[in-house]
Amino acid sequence: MWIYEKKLQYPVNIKTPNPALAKLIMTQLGGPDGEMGASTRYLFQRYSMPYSEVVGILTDIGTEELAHQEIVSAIIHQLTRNLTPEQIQDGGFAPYFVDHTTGIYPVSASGEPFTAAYTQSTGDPIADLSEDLAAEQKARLTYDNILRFCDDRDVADPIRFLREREVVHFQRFGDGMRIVQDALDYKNFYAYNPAFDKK
Amino acid sequence: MMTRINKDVLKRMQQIDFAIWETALYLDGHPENKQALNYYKKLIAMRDEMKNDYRKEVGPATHRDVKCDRWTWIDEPWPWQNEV
Repeated sequence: MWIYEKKLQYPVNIKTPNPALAKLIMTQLGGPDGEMGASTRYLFQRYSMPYSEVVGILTDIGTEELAHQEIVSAIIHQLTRNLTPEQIQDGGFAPYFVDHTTGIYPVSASGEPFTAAYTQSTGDPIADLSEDLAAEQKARLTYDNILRFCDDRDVADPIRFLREREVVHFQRFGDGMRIVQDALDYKNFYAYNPAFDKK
Repeated sequence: MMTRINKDVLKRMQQIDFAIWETALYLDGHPENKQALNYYKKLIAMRDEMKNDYRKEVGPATHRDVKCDRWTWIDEPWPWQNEV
């Protein structure tokens, strides 16, 4: 089970509202490579993972991604405080605003609501870990693209932290992939699924 | 590494933790209720008392509880791995 800890993993202190930027950053909550998809993907993949080291990696990274949902939500919340109707219009935030006001609802940058179709759980350790490695890179490049539009240091600072975590997670999933591959029979490398097919 | 866990100790901790949880939910909506707060504190004291026993008999509840010279966090069974 999980216990909530009442602190952010990395501080968020934004002074200037910016609804246009909030709309872009929202994609790291509910978009195709966002934190919601990440935690969902890793925590569900654990059950078919036959190697305990990798179950540990999936559990701990999946848990950290839950904390990243909170950081992204805090950024969006602070970027959309005390908005005037003009700021909402000019920032292109009005379509989101009519549905959700300034509540946090997971959508992509283009406004598509979060869907579990952004994630996969194949029951095959090599396929799952390949997906996880790709997911970390896609999240990293999305943060890179967000940073291109970030001229506020207060926003760029926690975004850079989140970007860095994607790099570290990619390395840790690399450890997991090495552990799974070492356990496979070298003569039979991709021929069977170690979570399902018995040798 | 598969380790043997003491199911009685696990069950006792699950019972105390559930009581703590239930009381916390109630206190969120009734923060002025002294009786509930005292009950909560009593449960936490019971939990503290069995914490070391739990670590020895079941294993680390979080990775912050790993105290020995080996990374026992990833020892099996994981919570969903029951014996069949």
